Amino acid sequence: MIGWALYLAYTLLLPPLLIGLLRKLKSRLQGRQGPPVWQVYRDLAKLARKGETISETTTWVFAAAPSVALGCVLVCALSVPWLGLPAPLHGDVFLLVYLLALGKFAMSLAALDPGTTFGALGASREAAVGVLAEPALVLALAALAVQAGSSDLAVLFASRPGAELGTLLPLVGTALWLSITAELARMPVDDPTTHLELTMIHEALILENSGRNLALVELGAGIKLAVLFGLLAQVLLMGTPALAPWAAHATSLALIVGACAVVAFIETVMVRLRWRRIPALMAFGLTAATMACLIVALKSEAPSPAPDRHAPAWHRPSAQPSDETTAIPPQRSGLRPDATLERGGPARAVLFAPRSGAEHV
Amino acid sequence: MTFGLPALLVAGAVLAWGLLLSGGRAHRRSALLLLSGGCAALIGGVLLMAAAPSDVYLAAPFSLGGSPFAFRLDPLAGWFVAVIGLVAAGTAPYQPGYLRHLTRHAETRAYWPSLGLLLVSMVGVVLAANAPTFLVAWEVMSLSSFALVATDGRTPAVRSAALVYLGATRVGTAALMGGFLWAHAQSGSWTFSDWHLSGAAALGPGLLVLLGLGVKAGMWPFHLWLPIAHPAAPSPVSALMSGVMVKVAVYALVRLFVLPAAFSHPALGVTVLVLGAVSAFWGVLFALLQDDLKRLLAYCTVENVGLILVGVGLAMVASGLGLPVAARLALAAALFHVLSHAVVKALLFLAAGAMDVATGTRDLRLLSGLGRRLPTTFACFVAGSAAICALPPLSGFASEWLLYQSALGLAVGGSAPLPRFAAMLLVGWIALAGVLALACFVKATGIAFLGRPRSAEMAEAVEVGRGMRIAQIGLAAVCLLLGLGAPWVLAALEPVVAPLAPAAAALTTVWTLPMGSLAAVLALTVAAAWCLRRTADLAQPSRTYITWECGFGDLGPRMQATAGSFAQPLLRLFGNLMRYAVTRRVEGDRADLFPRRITVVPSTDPILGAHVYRPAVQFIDRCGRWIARCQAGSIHAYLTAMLVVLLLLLVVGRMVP
Repeated sequence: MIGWALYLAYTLLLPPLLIGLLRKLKSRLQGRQGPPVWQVYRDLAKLARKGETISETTTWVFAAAPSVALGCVLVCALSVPWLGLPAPLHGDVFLLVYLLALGKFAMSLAALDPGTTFGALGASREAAVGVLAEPALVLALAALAVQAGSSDLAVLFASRPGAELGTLLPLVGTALWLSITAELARMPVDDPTTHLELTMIHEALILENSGRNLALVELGAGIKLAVLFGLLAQVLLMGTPALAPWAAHATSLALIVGACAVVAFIETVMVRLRWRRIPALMAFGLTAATMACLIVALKSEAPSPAPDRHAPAWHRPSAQPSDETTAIPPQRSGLRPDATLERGGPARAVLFAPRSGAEHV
Repeated sequence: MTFGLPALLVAGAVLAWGLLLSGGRAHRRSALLLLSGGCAALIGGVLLMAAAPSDVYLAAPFSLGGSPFAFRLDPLAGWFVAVIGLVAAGTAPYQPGYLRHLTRHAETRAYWPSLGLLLVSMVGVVLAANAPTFLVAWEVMSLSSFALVATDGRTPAVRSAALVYLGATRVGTAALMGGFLWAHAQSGSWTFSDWHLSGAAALGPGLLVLLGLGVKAGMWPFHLWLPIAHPAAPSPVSALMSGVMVKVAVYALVRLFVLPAAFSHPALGVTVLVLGAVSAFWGVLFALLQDDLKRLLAYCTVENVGLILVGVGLAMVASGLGLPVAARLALAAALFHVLSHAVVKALLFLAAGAMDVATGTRDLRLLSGLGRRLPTTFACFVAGSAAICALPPLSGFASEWLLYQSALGLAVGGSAPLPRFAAMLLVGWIALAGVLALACFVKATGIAFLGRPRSAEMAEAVEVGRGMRIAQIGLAAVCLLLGLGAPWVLAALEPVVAPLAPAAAALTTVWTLPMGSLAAVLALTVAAAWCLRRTADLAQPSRTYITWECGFGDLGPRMQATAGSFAQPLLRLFGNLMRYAVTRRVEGDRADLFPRRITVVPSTDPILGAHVYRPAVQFIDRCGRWIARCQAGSIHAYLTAMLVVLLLLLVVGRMVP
């Protein structure tokens, strides 16, 4: 019960503060005063009070999508132990990924609902970014799941990688950072503060929302940021010896705030990448995740049996001869990172190429 | 057990059912018969899953090639019989309404007899215990489905599609027959359970059988008939073919390669796994490209058959590596996905058919803004899309989650680095196919149902009749129930997959997700957010208005995204695989400054069809024309041909001991 109350309180109250903090940090780094840290709470309250304008062509999908998306991230927040304490619900790597996908499905449909140009552009680009980012996220988490012997997040974060810690965590961390920032529509993939609709990705997706629907969307985006950075914090905590619950909790919070600071720093010193350069960036994440998998695969000793009763009952055969010829050739053809690298193409060739449709942004 | 009284009763009932169905002209009565037959098959299948395996032989006159018609009743067959029954019953309420629409432009006299034959023969394939019985049922299945595809035979496009399908079934059956003959030559028996070929002896017949089954299942690179035949067939037939018939081939694969392995060779498992993985990616990528809704769904079937084959392949590989528990889990995942995809794909094809009935087109370039006109079809299509994208808490998520777990199981349990690494990459690969499927179905749903109507037909479309709606709602409800009741489905699968790892812990222990509480929290949150919105609405009502008007008046339907423009960023990303190119032409006196007309045409070049199959077909065509010269009527040519064949047979007969 305490777990429920704690997680619910953190989930609903912390995210606006994190976003406010991020904005404040970014403003100060850019030499501006910036809005107060609490501004996001006020914005949300104001949005919730304001009326909304809905396009005449919309259906129930548009009205319901922000609620569904919020529900998805809330279930994520309750099933992922992102605070360093046991989560009230039982979470899983694939459940997390597919819940986020459900939210994206709902929001993309809502973007297509009014039948305007910008929403569809946002939905289409968001899908493309998802295709680039999600395999890296899943692969990185799968590498950790295999070394822990379970895809259950509680078991996964309780495990400690052995000797390969020094190589595994940086690789997984890189892959996770790149795919999480893409998932959160942060620089260098997307610019949350852009004012030009043609260059928007996530902002174009939610462009049609106003009033309380926008409040739900903003709150959902904040929760997603907190949970995904919390996930990253748990991965980084795997590099330390097992901590006491309060210490793990405090460190998690510190790491989440630290991640926000890093985002603020990156958004100060970097610009958004051009649309066509994003595949090359995401290829780094995919490569890092693949290398993490390779390291886990090459690990010689058997994985420690999962301590949790929920863990699937896989067992390793005792010294059974393995037939070398049954080895599966790795499917390189599509996951090959340099294949996506090529899509980036040289910038010069693109500059003078004939422009068409949405490509030239 | 030979032909006993219960078996006689069942056979009599099936015969009576078939005759009644064939004789019926009234669609409503035939649909009722279909419903009852489907329910009977469902119940029978569930009973078979609980019962001990048994064999049934027909008495003496009913035999072929020296072996009697034989049937094996066991849990695996029961699972597939239940799936066939479920989908047949699910599509039954839909049939009368659709057929009323179809009779306007097609001849439907052969429809019900062919449908009855198709269902009975599918059950026959699933129950067959030896090769002759299997082949007879397989042939009846192929030919009756051909007749169904050719229902609308007056249209030239349908005729050519039906011929392509017939050609594909011929190739498949030929390969299958060759494989069975080869296996018979090596084992001396026609009965499947007597075949225990392993090592090099298994490779040849195994690959031939795999080819034959792969053509029927739509495995890459033999999938090309699916996107051609499905749009041509009536929608309920597509639902049955895509939902169930391709799974019958999966059944045979499981029966002959896994439970128990009649052909066991390490390369076979790897082949199934790799071809399945390629199918999964290839299918969904080409689905993303399609403009015809039913072609899109057909390619999506290729993807899902690929995922099922990945599960079967994982089971084969894991068995070979000595990981019975992972193998059992992989097979359970594959069989669960068989069920879940059968239901979802039937639902989606029925919804596509409903759109066809309501608007007269399946073209995503024309379909638009139907959500308000067809509310039930819309809601069911959204549910089906979410289920096929494996979104929780629907059925697709449960089966895909199990597939991920079995890949992880191989990665955790495997001892050699290469299989471990490959299994982990497979996890990412399935995730990639999953994200692409999401994009594909956001496109299909969003373009067809959302936005503004592009034409008067779309703006005035009328929702389909009650029966057609009930069928869709029923199948959508089954999707949800299968997702929420995943542990019970797993418990039902337990006896089916038990032979792989008899001593292992119960299959349900693998399912660690508390689906009930997750779904409850999700539903509660959504409801709470929705209620908050409604209360705010009471205080300050939301305004429905023209958005983005900017003083210029309302936007037109041409401003909104099209299917092609939605998929464009993704297709550019993978453009090399299909030679995706966008040609842009600007007309006008000073085109750079004052364009009068801008035309953008995306083009693709399906490599497999254009550069592999077309030359092959042309070659066969040329050979045929050359051989046809012998039949031009010259008696000398005939006699020479006969002499040559006789000599050839004598020489071959001399050489082969």
